[in-house]
Amino acid sequence: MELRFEKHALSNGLEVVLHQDRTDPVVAVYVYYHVGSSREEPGLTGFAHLFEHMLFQGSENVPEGDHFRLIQEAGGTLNGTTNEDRTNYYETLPSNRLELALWLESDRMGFLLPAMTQAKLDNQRDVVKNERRQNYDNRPYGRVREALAEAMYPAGHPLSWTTIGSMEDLDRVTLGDVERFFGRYYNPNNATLAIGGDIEPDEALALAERWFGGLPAGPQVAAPEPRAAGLAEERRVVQEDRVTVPQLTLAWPTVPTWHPDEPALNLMCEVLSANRSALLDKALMVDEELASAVMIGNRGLELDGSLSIHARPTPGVSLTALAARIDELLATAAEREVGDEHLERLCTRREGMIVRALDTVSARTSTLGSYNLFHGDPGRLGADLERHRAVTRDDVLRVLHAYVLGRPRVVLSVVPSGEPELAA
Amino acid sequence: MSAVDRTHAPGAAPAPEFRTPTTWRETLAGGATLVGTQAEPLAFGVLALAADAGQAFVPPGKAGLASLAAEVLLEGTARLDGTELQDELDGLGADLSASAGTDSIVLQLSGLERHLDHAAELLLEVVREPRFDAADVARLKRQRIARLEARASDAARIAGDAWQAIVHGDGTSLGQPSAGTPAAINALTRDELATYWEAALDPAGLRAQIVSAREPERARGLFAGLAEIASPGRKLTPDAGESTLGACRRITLVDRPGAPQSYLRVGHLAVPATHPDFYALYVLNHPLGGAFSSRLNLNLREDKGWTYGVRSGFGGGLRPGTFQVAAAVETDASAPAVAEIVRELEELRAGGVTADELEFARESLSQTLLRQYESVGAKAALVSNLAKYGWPADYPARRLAWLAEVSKADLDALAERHLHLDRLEVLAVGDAERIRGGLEDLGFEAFEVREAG
Repeated sequence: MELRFEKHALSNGLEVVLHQDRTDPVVAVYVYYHVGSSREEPGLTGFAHLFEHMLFQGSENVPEGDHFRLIQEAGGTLNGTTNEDRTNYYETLPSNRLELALWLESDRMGFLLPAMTQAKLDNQRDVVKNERRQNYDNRPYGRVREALAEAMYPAGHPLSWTTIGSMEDLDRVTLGDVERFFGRYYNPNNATLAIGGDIEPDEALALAERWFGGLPAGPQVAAPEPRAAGLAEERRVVQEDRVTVPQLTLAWPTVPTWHPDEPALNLMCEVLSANRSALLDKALMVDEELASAVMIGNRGLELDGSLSIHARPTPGVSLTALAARIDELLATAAEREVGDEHLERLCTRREGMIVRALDTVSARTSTLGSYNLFHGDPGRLGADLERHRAVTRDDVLRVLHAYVLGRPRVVLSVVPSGEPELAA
Repeated sequence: MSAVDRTHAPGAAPAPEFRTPTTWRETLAGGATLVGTQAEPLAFGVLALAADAGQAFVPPGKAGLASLAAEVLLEGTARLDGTELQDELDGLGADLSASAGTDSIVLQLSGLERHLDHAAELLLEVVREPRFDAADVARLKRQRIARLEARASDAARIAGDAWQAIVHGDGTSLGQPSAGTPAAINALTRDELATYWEAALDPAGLRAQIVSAREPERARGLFAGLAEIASPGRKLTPDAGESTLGACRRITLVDRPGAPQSYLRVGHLAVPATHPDFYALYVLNHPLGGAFSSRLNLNLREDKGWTYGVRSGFGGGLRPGTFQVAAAVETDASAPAVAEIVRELEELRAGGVTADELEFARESLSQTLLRQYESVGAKAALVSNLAKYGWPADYPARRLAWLAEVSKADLDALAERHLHLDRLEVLAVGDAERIRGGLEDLGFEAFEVREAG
């Protein structure tokens, strides 16, 4: 499976990825900046994401409120997202309005600061705090990732906090921080512009040059260096929350993204828990009914990665018993044959998932832009599938031993407030 | 290169021509409807089958019957147990879901185009020969009850269930939580679930949908097996209980001690999607709370900072649905936010939309139609609407034409006819100790406290 693209670089360092698909009169524009919460400083957690909000508050030539209004008036959709490694901004529009998106994106890349005011910052700070309340604080198990991050990484490690940040740190943000962050990271040479859909690549490139070509390059931003968790022994953490049913999380440090072991770790997760026929799901949810929900995932980031198993017990089952049974099952996984046929089936399953995930022009454009931002190569999708296809059963068993069995980990128990005795 | 003039938004290139995807429709022997569209060569296709079943066909007291019956369908067939079925789907790169909505139980399969023939056989096998094994049912019941207990602490779910009960009424089919209650789930039997699905599988009420790269002739063959389904001899009947508007303005409070936010809903019962005004109401709602730049969001989020976001909308299917404003707001802003929402509704009803808002909605929604049917997912939604509502195949084009003509007077008349502000229901799920006084001071005619779940 390949996505067609061409790639160019403007003289200011902006990389431009073009993907033509004329099936429908739709165009998608993505701007990816190589900055996320793992570039934040301690004491200013949540800043990269709050900054993302500020980019929708207008720029020198775009009055407050117009960014949303103009895109929506043109029949488009838009948003932005921030994670640990990158921030993106995107629009999908009828293809005759491509230039509108390029004007808006280039104006905020080049001319954001004149539009920044204390009132806008205070307003978006309040909005983000409400985002935190809604999606983390007032949601059952909503603070699990935060507790895991704190337990797995030493203080000061950029993965020891999450993208939403803390209320205290959000309160600390000033307009000066906005100015410094913008100057350091929001430059054409730290970004990828991806344009996909109903375009003529030559015309789209000329438009990219027209709107972005005159923006000055900024300081070079060094690629982040991997920084391991350095977890020396098991850490047990109890989080009391507004929940009715406790939840257990077991988490191990693994490897940064595109480490040679990452595909085997991903496949191992699928062998353990891709669906109800997988080892953990079948034992815990079908055969023994110890859990009403099981989730597992390996997540590779630029600095480091981790593998987590989340499980919620059925009534009458303690977190301690659940944890013990999971450990037994992981040990038996090491003994169990993983057939080639099984791995083949998982690869077909993965192909189906990826194809479905690439259903829209927006998703395809985003994929190309993201691969380019991190690897300098928009066309990494094929290689990404291939490195997973190359995993053997020996690889799966090897990483199980190397990263999971008997390795230092975090054991997190989320329990109803006032009932810490329910912890594992 | 000459400097570019950034002071104005660049203009639009000529608008692309509007095309609705070409769809085809037929009625199979036995009465099932089949609607499909051929997409450009694609890597995956979607097959869906909807049966006249779901929430509206669940008698009061049997909450969860439809959603659990749907879930049991994925537990295997006469030939395959649930695990084998899952493995076979994985080998086809296919995802199969079964869910119960208000008007239908829908099975939807998305899978790699090259394996779609095999996947279609599997889908029909699930539909016609579900296993309904007693041990599987018993296990799913226990699992559902455990999940209901876990979600009892989820304010968003509490608000969703309470809102259904408030708008449709306790003791009605649609007023019950769709996932059920522990007691109701516990009382369901294997035979009840199996019989429910047998009756739902009445060919006259089946709606099959296809999005595939195949020619219509070949695509039809995927569902040929449907013609062999015999009438079950009995039909599910929707519950006779009618939902009605409330008698007056009422506030309902669900206590969630210590919550940092309150989930708010403001609205009332509204017309079904089959009502001639339904799309017009979607347009009317656009300036109120249908878009980011709508009155409610600009006020509560971008001006006040009380919420991460607020939206409003008319939602309904074949049966009356709801008009609702929904937001999660910080606790101390609960009563002021309700007051602002009510004020915005009153202003819209009294003054109607502004000329700018009308043009904004007209432009935005017309242009949106241009890019609406791009993906397989969007095409699947289109054929689903055609099959469900019996709308003409060119309904998107008719909407486009209507948008070009609609006037302020048209929309203002709709606001008067369909916004029942003297019958507003308000729901707040939040920390009663901190928000109750403020809500009571709003002076609504009725005030009630409701238990969660």
